[in-house]
Amino acid sequence: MENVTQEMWTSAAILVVAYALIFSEVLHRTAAAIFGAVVMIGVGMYMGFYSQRAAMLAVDGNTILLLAAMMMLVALLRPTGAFDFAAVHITHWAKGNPKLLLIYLSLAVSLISMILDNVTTVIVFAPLTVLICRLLKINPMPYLMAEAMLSNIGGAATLVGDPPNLMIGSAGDISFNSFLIHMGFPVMVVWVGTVGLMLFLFRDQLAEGGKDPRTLVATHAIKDVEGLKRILFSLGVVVVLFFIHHTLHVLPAYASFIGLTLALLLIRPDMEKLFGDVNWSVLFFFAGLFMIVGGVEASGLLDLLGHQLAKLAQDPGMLLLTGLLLMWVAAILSAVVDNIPFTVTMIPIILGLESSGVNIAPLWWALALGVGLGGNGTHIGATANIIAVSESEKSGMPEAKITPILWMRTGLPVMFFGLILASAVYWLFFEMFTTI
Amino acid sequence: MKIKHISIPTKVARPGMLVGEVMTECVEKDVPGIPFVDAEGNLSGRFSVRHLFLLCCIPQDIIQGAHLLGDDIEDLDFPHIRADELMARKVDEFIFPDVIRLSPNFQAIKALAIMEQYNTEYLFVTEGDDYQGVVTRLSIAKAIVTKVCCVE
Repeated sequence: MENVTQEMWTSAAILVVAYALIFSEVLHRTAAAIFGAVVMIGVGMYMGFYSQRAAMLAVDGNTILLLAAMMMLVALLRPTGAFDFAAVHITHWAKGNPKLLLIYLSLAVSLISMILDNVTTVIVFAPLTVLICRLLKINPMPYLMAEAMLSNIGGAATLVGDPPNLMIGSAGDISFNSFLIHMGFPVMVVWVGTVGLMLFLFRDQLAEGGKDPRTLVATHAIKDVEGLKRILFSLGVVVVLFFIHHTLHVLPAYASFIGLTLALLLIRPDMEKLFGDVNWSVLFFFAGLFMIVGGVEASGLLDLLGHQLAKLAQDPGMLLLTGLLLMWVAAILSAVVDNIPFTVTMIPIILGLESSGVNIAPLWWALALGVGLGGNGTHIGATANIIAVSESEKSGMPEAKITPILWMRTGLPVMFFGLILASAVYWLFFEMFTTI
Repeated sequence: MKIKHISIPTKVARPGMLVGEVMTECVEKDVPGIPFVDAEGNLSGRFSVRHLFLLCCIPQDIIQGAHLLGDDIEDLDFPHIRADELMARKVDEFIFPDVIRLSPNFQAIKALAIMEQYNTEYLFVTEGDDYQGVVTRLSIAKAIVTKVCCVE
């Protein structure tokens, strides 16, 4: 501890206060992040370890711009009615079978979450799910929980499915394909296991057959056919560019902006309204966190921590254990607190290990799996969970209400079962996780 | 055209009144809502038919997916829709605290502009604490059609 300087203590104190404000919700998390960033820059300048320019450079532009572009693309897709259309057809395919409906809805939400923001996906699907269940006369609670949890799991599979993955991919220079190859397999195993577990845990609620699903019609689901074609074409271009962005030497953010530009030219939307649909609060929250952690990094504290951890991880035999430990710690912390601050803090620590000669590739995958799966443990573990809980309350159906205890009764087994499966895949195929 | 000439006098809702009584007043006077006067005699809120329906009869998911509903939904069993039970409930739990008041000397054009600004169909006309009536878009339209607008 003798190497810990006054600057390190100060920056750590600012980070702890800012994170305490974020987690305690005394202030809105964005306000707390901005407050922390402003204090970190001011104090850093006074003490000489941080500057305004360094704070600007600490913000990962690739993450922020990619998120902004994807938010705008979703904002253009949503009013076309594509999600409504999908939900009605899923209901028809399930033919009133509650178990099939759970599998189909969860699969749809998971697949969409692999490309689009999973929070938006759940925001759109949750009220439709309640409506479907109301018409089929079945309890929407298992479906809402399954959608939230499986969208969290689905989002963990790709570079763009979850903000922590974006940050990890950007920091580790990991391509979309590499993310899909490394994370796709464990996520698929966890997904199948989770669906099986949910069918078992909700066996009583899913036992009774639903009513005839013909009460839902897709005739008026699509509100703008031309707009839908154009936005799907633009999204298709984005997805293709994601697959080849590394070959073309373009950042994922630039790839998404190419698709966005195409959409803007083809659709000519009301720009004021489009910008109004962007979740600026989330973007500023991330920017604030990057600046706070940038200050701690500039003080040298994260390097010091990295050197301590490097002693453990330098031994190749211990690398697997370090990765598993990181995955479980990340998951358990993500279940109780926001996983973004944890991810933002861990990224420079892991990057610091690289300079000590540690192969950090397995740690990136462990971190991504941990923060991706941990959010399922509690109702506050992920934003999608909060939306599912809120929708269950708004439904006005007493049997649908998801209480924190009810969530944990399902969420904790799902989280731990998912972690066990992911750990098994990580251990059995560790060689695969040692590369990027 | 001043709104004092076109406002519709109504009773007010008071603490302890039943939803049925208040609804009846709205239906009889053809107004979307009436003011609520609390135990101290202050005009402290409003009863709105639209908000009553929103609270009790139409869940948010139905509103969002209304365009997806087929014609064959007559067996939808909303636990909310139990008219007798609803009419027998106290009006106090359905009162909204936001009240927009207008002076009787306001011009109708100003009333229409305020209705647009607040996305509402009706406003209350008060002179100090004295409630005089409700002015609605339809009452203004009726005044135009029946030439009451020429009265000054």
